[in-house]
Amino acid sequence: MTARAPRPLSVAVLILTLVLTAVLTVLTAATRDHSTEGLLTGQVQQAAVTIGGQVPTVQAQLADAVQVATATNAQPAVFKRFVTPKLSAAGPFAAMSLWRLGPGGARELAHSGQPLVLAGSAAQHFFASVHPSTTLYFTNLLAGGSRFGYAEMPPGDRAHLVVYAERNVPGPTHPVTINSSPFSDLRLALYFGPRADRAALLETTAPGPSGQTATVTIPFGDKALTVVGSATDELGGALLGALPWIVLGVGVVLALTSASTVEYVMRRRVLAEQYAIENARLYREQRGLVAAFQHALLPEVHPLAEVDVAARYVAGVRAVDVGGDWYDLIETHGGRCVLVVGDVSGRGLPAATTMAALRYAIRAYIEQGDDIDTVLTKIGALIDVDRDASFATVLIGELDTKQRSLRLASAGHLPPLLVDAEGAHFVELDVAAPIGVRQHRPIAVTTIPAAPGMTFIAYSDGLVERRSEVIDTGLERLRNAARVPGSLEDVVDAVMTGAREEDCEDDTVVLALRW
Amino acid sequence: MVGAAGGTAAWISWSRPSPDAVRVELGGDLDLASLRRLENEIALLLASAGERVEIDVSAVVFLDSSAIALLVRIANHFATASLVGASGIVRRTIDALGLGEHLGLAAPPTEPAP
Repeated sequence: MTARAPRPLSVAVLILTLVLTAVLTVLTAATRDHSTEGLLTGQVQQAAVTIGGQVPTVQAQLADAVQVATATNAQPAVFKRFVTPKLSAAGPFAAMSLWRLGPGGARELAHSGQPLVLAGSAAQHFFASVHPSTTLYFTNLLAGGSRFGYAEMPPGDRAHLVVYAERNVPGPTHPVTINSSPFSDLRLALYFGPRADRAALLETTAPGPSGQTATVTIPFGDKALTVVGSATDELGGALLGALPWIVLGVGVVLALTSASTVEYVMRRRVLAEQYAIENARLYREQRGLVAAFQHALLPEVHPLAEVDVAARYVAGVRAVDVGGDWYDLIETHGGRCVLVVGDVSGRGLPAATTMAALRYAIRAYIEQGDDIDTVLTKIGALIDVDRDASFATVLIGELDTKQRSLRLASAGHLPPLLVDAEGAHFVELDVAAPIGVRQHRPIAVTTIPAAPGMTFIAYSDGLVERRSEVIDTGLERLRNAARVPGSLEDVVDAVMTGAREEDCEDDTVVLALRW
Repeated sequence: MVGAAGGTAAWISWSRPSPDAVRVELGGDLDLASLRRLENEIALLLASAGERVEIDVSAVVFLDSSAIALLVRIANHFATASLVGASGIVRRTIDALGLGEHLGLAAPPTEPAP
């Protein structure tokens, strides 16, 4: 195919499929993101709950310390002895202290561990909010975010004792790994408070969360803890992650394939249409050629001295192939003429060339002075049914108007019709085998009187034959059609319309004489 | 006579009832197109040996000039031929062509044909 601009339809198909692909890709990506988001949120929630679960543990330890202090009437030494083993710079208790709340404020009774950051009015302000409850009280981040504190005052605490502890915040410069295995594929960052505030960062894994994150806030004592997490792997699995790309890739391939197919099919169709048009043109041209050829082969019928002549040739309805029917009229000396009607079997060039050979051979033999039966015998050498798979039927006659006789011989040909005042009847002939088939007897010649006013009609079988009919039916039809008054041309016209089948596929030849 | 397409499918078959006799049966629409399809079978038949041939055309629905030519060629291949089973149409066509003697067309039955 030559390179031409693609047709609008294939471009439209391409664009439409690409648009659909884009839509599906976006939908797939959105679905994927939505489902992984849900998965991530769930996991981060679980991590947050796990972390939040540390609170009761811490609370319990602080509550124990309060009990000890209450039981020993807040003796500092006892308190110190109790809490010191629990202290560690990196653990939940970097410092622990015992306070008593009174109408005048909070008073520190004992202290162990690192110096407390919470002091002065900030401490008074904090302790003012502490009441006996089941909640652990948290301070805000202290000392620029490196420390926070929490106080426990168990419910039913009539001694007004509060245990306050402080913890060091590792901060972003000291990232820690959260080892609990269910969350080892999450990257987490913990923030003190309701928001993921940079200033409030407590702890973070190394590296911290990035990309698609989920943020969960849980109650943390009386404050809140915000956990931000991201996944290290594709939560939905590698296939789900790659799905939008797969959809995009498949869609683009599909778009190109379908557009190419449409283009190809349309070009083939145009090609097929062009062939169809060309074929129709060639067919018309051939029909024209065939008609011209056959017209050229058949002789003009010249009027004879005392004889009216009319002739017809009508091609079969398909008329794409040349046929093998012919007629001829040869004037010989002494006012005689020889008439010939012939039919070579088959169609196409072989039949036409055989017909031409027979026609001109007959002319030559007549010219040489051969009698009509001799002519038929001699032309038997020109065609052989075994060699050529065809034969020819020939009717040959010699009309002598002076002697008023008509001599006829038939090689396989249908009998001619004679029409006179009494009616129409077929000439009874001894029919020899067709030309090309071996003759069993010498070819017979029948002589009939040629009274004036007679009409003689010779024809080929296309005039009388119809499928699924005995030949005699067609002969009878012809006989009735010929009994019309009028000129010879009128009679021939009547015979053509009355006897010949409409849409007859066989060629038809009629040669009529009237003397 | 030129055949048209369609109709009953053409067929040919033959047997050898005795060493030097062949019996051929033909059936269907025999025209130029259908006979072309039977070319191979026809070539085989025309290559087989024998003295006598009996051609049964009782199953023939239609035959054109190519089919007539085939019958003649089959008859030519053997020393003697006889044509049996010819219906009214087939019989009259062969008679009109003057081929009754050559093909060994049997005389018509004495009782009137239906």
